[in-house]
Amino acid sequence: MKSVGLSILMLLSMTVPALALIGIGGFTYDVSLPAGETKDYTDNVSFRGLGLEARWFRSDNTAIGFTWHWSTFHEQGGGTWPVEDGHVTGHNFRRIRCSPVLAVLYFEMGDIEYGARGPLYYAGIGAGVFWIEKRMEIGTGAYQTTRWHFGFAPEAGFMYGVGFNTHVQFGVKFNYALKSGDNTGHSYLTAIIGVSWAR
Amino acid sequence: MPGSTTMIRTARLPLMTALAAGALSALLPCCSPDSGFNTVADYDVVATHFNPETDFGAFNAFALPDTVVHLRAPDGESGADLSRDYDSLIVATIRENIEAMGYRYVPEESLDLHMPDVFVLVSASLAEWATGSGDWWERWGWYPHWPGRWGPGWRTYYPYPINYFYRSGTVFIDMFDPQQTDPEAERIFLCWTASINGLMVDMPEGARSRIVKKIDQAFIQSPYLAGQ
Repeated sequence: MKSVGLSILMLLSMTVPALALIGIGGFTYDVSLPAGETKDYTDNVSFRGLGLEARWFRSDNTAIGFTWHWSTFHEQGGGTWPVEDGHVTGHNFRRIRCSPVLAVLYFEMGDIEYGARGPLYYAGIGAGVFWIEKRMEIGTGAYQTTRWHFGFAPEAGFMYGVGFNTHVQFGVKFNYALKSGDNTGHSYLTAIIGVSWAR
Repeated sequence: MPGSTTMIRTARLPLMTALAAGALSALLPCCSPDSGFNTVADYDVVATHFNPETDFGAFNAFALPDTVVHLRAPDGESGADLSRDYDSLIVATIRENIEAMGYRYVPEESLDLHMPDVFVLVSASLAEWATGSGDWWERWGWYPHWPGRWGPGWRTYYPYPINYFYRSGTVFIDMFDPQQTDPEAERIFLCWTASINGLMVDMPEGARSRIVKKIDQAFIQSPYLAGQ
């Protein structure tokens, strides 16, 4: 966690000089497709996602920002599942809730001027922490673990200026949380639709 | 910069974003889907836990008292009596499964001459209660074949997480090595436990096959008992 904290501090320090430049912030609706260990545990597409994003331009084609997102994956079923020092069999409800808080470095291409109409393409890489809760309800009991994971998330997309300093945003990002303690890593692909405003 | 629009040199987050943050935070509790437990059968669970420090490969012989002990809740409260019609089936099914894993059964009349590597005890809860270390002697003190050093006050201890709330009629199968005890704390360490939640409640038609199936499942999901 020490290296995670240092990484965030470095990105924060990089952000400070950018505060004098144009900023774009907004919220998103997220649809996520589980992958890897996440898919093994909960195979359903998540339609329960949302997020907040903000970015500040440091130059014509770079920006630094922060993102917070929330996704809930779930699946019901039966079968036998491993638990700590044992196994359980029966109808169960499995859920993973992920909430990454990331600092993001963006590379932008397009018209970033205030009030501009038209597309603003971007690609970025985010790094930070993922809060992940993994829970299985079975019978009258439940197994639950909550961990902080270090992780990263490459992303790409575009914002389209529609006037009134407002942008509609479309993007995809691949979230990857590294293994944390005895918890497996988690990964999922998120498609986002958002609305944002420039100041 | 191309174009004639003006770059605003401020980066305060728009008010709309702040408002959106508040609204989204309020919506977060709505992001937890329903768990979908609708029928009694949805709560049937076969759970098995084991002590990871136990070398099951070292065990060859087992003893199995032919009784299903009925457990009252720690406060003495008891629900309806459970039928004993299926006790012999439960014990026989457990014995078949353990023998199928390569263990040799030590009959009760031979226990004074040959101490088994493990004892297997079967019990059923008469009330809803959260299990934990129990007063072992109160439940099993009547059995005449224990090593002589155990007496009142001894308790069983689970060296692994047991975090269920059990329904009335739950059947427990506990395995312990008589060598793994703590005489000072008067504890008997269990090395394997199976709990079959609600097995003896609302016995429907086909109860016998249900009992056999659930007990079989406890051993199917515990292949390490065979020392593999």
